[in-house]
Amino acid sequence: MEKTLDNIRNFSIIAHIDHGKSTLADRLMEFTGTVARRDSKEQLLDSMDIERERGITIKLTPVTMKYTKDGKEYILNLIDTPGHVDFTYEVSRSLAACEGAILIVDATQGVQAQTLANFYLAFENNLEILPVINKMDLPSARPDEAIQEIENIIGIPADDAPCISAKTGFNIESVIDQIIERIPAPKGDNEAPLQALIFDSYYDNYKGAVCLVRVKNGNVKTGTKIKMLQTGKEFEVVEVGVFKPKIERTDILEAGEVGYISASIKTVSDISVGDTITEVERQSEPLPGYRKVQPVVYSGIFPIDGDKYNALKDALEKIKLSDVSLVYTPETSTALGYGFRCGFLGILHLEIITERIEREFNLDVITTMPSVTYHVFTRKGEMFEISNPTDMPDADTIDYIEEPYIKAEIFSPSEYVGAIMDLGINKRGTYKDLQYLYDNRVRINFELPLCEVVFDFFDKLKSATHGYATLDYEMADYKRSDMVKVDMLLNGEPCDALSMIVHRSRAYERSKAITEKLKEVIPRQLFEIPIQAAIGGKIIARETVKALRKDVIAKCYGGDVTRKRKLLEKQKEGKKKMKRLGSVELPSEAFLEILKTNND
Amino acid sequence: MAINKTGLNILEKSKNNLSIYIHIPFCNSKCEYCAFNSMVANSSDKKRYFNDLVAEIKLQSQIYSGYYSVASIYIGGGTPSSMDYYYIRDLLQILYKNFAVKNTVEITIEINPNTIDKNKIREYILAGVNRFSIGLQTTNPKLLKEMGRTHTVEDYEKAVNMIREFGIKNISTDIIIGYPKQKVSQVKDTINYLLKLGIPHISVYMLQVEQDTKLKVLVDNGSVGVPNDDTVIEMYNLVSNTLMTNGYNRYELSNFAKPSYESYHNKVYWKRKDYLGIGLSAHSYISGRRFANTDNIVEYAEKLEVKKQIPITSIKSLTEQEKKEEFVMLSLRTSEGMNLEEYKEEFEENFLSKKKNTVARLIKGGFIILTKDNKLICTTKGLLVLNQVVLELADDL
Repeated sequence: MEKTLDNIRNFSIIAHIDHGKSTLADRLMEFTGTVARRDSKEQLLDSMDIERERGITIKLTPVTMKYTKDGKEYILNLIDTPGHVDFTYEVSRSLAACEGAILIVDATQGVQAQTLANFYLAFENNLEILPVINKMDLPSARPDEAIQEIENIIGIPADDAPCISAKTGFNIESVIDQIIERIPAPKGDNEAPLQALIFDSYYDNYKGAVCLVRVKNGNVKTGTKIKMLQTGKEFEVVEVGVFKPKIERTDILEAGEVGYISASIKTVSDISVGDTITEVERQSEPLPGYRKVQPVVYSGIFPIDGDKYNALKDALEKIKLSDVSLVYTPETSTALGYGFRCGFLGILHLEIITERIEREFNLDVITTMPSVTYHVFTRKGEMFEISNPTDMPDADTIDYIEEPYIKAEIFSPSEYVGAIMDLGINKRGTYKDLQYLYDNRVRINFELPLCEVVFDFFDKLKSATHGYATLDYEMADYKRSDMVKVDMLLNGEPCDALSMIVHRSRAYERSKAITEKLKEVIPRQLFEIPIQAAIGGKIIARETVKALRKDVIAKCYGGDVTRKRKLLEKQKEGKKKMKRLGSVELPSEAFLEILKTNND
Repeated sequence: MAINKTGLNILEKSKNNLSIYIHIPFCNSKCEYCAFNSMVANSSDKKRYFNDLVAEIKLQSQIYSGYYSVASIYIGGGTPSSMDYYYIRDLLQILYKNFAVKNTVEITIEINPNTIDKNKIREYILAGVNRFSIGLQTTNPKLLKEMGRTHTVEDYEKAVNMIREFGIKNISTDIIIGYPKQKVSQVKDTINYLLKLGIPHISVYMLQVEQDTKLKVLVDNGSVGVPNDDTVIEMYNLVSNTLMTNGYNRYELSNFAKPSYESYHNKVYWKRKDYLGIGLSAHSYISGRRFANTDNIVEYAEKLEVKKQIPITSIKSLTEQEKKEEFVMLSLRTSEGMNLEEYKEEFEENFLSKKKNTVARLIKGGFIILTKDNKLICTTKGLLVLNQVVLELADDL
């Protein structure tokens, strides 16, 4: 059958986390026969181990499905999107490649923070939005209320929204019908010069850097000479294809289609997500790119084995290829040697990047205390943007410091208002307003210091509200704040990698938590190790690791010195994994543990 | 030229001293804490193993006998005394036939108090044994039972008396400290008992809960707990102080001896002198190479019976750095300590100038002392954390 544009539908699924996005994607693939149910692993699109383990989608995954309706074969391209608040940027990328979006609303929970946030993104991209009410299999499903919330809060009609159960497969067909009927077919000129938007990319050991594209105009096939408009690099296409959901080679990618282009691109930096691919011979205009994302939290990443600096650099380059939101610059630490200062969208993003470095590249790394960017004003009237505690000017040269704030929007059942207020205030937040939405649902607005939010606010919110509350936030202004730099001293020597910038009112609590954690994770050594936290010259918290007093005096069986050798080798190996900070040895896990230290 | 079956063709053609270790892997029963390669076996297994040992001695002697004279023999296990006496007698005679043995040779056999009788002892002595090492572990009857030891304190005392009746005074005894439920007072009782009996050589070992032992299972499932560090330190210090005030020299961290009762064979290990191990999983160190026989009895037998080969599984030539590490690791165990002049002579570098800061730090911390004749010696405090001290001193050599 000949491909024409009017049988193609490009769409995304957007939803609040846990509302059933990946499950619906699985069902759609089964329903269209793209995969057989018995072959399906839970949540096919979540291909990274981390995604399946954590039950979240981080990376975008496109998949091509075929479906015949009324004798006509349609090609349905689904571009999956991440659901966590850290990954809004990725959502906007995938939406730019679509004409429509399915907006899932959980029939038991109604409209949530990210339902709204993602709706606005889709709306900005001029997408046709199809609301779908999910989880009809649950006894607590309230589809009428959900529909009402969509109409009232979001403001789009939802009368004919399909009520489905992605889990059981109930009423999936009506979703497909609506995709075909309501989402516009892509417009594009198959004869025009090639114009393809790179919305994602990944690195394959055999194929090199592979671009995931939405072809807006023209077509591309093996042998096409292509040019990246932004980087100006030229390549010859080796292979094109689609995802079903495993990659499948095809002869050609035409206007309106979604697929991949592999062109033996060896250098990762030659691809820039958001760039437009065109032909060398017939150049097109660039498509509008993406808005640049600003990292909100910074942390140092260092290889445990100092010789692995280049391997780490390589890993970051390759991750950056598919995750443009990651930024990094080289950094040197007296304690940890050479590494990178990296910017992330949030703490979850930081954890995922470190996990990917460790799993996909088999590198052991240390991450230092995360920090947001502060504005530091000196007495001389200069202003510095400081996101690394070690760059902090001397305390007596500082006039004042400003810290970034966010506007947080929290949705919750009203019974948790008290708990949320307590949490917000405890996190130095300023309450703004509260709106009663329906029955017992409220929206609370807070202004909160970003640094309090990046650590554990989300987790704390979830536990304070038994998982019912949801959070969305946007950056607000900088505000003057009493921030101080706390140094951690091991054996009297400052350890730059453990320094942190905190609000004065939090300095003691956090210092105490960290000194206690350090005491727990530093193995006993020959000498007693004092652990101190200090502001300027003043010690505000102290713990001591007692000296090791005994090893085992073991029998030397029949001259078996190799046993002792092996023990020594093992200890040497263990020592290699330790970072020597002055006269103290710190296991690399210590840094991770400290990162996880909550402040109350 | 000797037949070279192990790739060892670098021996000097001078008569060096060699120590020989012979391993007997059999026991009448397995102790709770034992992770060693030992097994309970029937008489035909024992006979077969004896024949294999004889074959190995013959093969080994073809390589080494021309270059060495034997200064010590140690028959260990397992429980060598669980073999019929004539096997031990014949083994020694085969050794004498195949190696040059010095007049002053020290020949030790490990025995278990309840696998011994007057006849066995007489035969051992007639065959040349002049030193007995007896496993006692503790004098507490309840603890003995829990360890899975099948002898009593009376059995032990009887064995000591029998040996002494033949005029042999050179008796060593092993004891364990840090066993689950063991009390400091019980260690004190054990030491006082040995002092009263006048045992001139005592080895003390801290219990190490090893993988694949019955004890490990019990400790892991929480049904027994091991004494805490402070208690074990108290036990070690008690043993150490009591013995040293009673005229014993702690010539190695776990070995205490009255003057002239230090074990030559034992010191060979710490001084990195050459020794040859014969038998299942026996270890050797010759001319800077460490090698070991297989620990698989089927493979051991097959190599000797079918292939007529020495059943070596691993040979490791120590690198210069590894030799240095072993120098540090082994010499620091001894009361003679680490002789920096000898180090300089062997490795042509000055240890102190390389490790100045570490040595200063360890001296300041009371872990080691530096003597006027240029030796680094571990203090009691240092011996208790020897692994760490070694790790610091042997790093980056």
